Amino acid sequence: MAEPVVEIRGLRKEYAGRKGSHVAVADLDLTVHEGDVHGFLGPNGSGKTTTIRMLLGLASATRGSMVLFGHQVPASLPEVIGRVGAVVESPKFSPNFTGRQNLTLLARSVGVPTQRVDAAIETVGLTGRDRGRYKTYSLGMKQRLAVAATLLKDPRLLILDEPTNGLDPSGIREVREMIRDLGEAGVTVLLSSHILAEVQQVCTSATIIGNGRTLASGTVTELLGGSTSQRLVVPDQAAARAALEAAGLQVTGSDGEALLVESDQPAEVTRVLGEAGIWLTGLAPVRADLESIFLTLTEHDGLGSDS
Amino acid sequence: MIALLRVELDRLRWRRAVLALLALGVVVPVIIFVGTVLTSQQKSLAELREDYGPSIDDSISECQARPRQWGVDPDGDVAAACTDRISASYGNQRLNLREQREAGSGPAIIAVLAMLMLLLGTTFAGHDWNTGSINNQLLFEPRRQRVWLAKLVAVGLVGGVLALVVLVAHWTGLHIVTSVRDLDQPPQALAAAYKQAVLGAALVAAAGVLGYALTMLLRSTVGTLGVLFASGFLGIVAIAVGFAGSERFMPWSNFMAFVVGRYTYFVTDSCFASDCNPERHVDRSDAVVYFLVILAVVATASLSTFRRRDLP
Repeated sequence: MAEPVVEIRGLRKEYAGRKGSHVAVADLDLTVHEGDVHGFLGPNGSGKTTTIRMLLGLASATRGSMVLFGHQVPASLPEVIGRVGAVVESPKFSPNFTGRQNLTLLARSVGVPTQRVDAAIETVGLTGRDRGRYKTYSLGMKQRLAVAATLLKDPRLLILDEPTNGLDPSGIREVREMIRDLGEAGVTVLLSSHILAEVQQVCTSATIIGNGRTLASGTVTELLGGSTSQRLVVPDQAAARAALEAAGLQVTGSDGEALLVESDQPAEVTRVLGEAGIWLTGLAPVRADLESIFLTLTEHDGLGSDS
Repeated sequence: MIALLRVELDRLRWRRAVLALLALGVVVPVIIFVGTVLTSQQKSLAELREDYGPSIDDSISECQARPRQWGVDPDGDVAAACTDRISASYGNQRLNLREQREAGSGPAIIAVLAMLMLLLGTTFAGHDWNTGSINNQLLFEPRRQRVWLAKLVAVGLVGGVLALVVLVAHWTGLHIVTSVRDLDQPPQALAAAYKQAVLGAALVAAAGVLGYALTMLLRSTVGTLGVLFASGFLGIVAIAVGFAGSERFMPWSNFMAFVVGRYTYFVTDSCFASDCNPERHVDRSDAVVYFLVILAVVATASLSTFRRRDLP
């Protein structure tokens, strides 16, 4: 397996408030291997952005360990930041400067040759608009400029926090294609998102968090494969539900005509129902998508936190 | 660090608000200079008579009759001295570099520049926080103390250089005017003026640094301006309600002590005994300590919180 580029263990962030402390991230674990396009999934307020901000030194951790390229951060952040490009939340630039001026200032602050500004502008398709003031840019252009800023350093790790927020469909597609291209070019990407389809489309692995804790982690195939449901058509749904639950199987829902049972063993489901005298009129495996995995995990976690 | 400083200097010069403040820092002193030159033009007695009527002659006659009451030496050339004195009392004062340095255009220009640079430091730092661009900057240079220091040096450097250039130009200009008008000046008047220019430049730079450091601490332009107005207001209230000696700690007293050398004030509410001298002084050394303590406290708190606190 490739070397881990990001390794987070037992990360915790507490905010002190008048009514006591508030836990935004609670003992979170996250590993991203070199070359991965890793989805970082969680509902709004689950602690994704806080985790990224701690990783990049913008916020301090209450406790836990964070390693980037084998270096403990934030202590060794100056040694590795040159290999990390990041867009955290919405793009933030000086509104009265042009896009080019904003990029030039950032490039020169770390000694990046200003020729790379031209390359970055061209890569994100802002050529011709780079001399316009940032405040006149559309949201899509602002997002592109933020991506251009991350490319200035020729990063080996790209951290993108909700990069498609506010973009129109064509903008979303362009950003997703860009992420895929970067991944294929060997850049490791950590993509924070609450858009499940986005992660499923572009990521090779993912970590799902809720209430600041890691709920599941692995390759997208592993996450999907480990949670197959069976769709059962039975004459008496109430009796079938009772029999299945008595046998320890979890009924995750009903679509009116059929019951959904979380199990990857149809033979076991058939046996339980047969022993209860309930005869199936239909049985089909339901291949889970990331959305159902996510909803199942987060429902169990009782989410809705405001962290 | 040098690269970072250059970046911050560019960030400063590309900001329109900063350019406007720098332009004001040139225009206002030019207006003060022109005003000083024009109002110190000598008018003849005939021109004064034309402006003010026969009251001029009445005053001169009164002065010649009772020269002591007008502060004129009765043993000297009373007629000439009285004419000069009365002319001066009608605003017809000769240009005098020492007077300009102690209570004239010199302190006025330094005060204006200090206020403008205080605003410049405030708006420069406030912009980074208001737009959130400080986050982006730290994603490129995560050593926060370096970022903080580079910005501070940029503000101090711009304020100091502007003030030095403006003040030296002002005093050189006034010196040329006195030479053209063939006016005698006290010995070392120009050297003392240039010394004030250097001191003024240091004070102006410090004002910029104070505005910057306070805004980095409070993370808000409005917050900084609020604190400055509130402290000014509290100072006025303290003097108004008669806190004995409160003038010692007022910015204005210390400002004058620093740029002129000494500031004199009077304490009357706690000085009733016959041998009590109500006169008090603030010396330049006192003012240096005063300003250094304020700067050190604000800068330490600013750097410390910038290094430790989470970014918004």
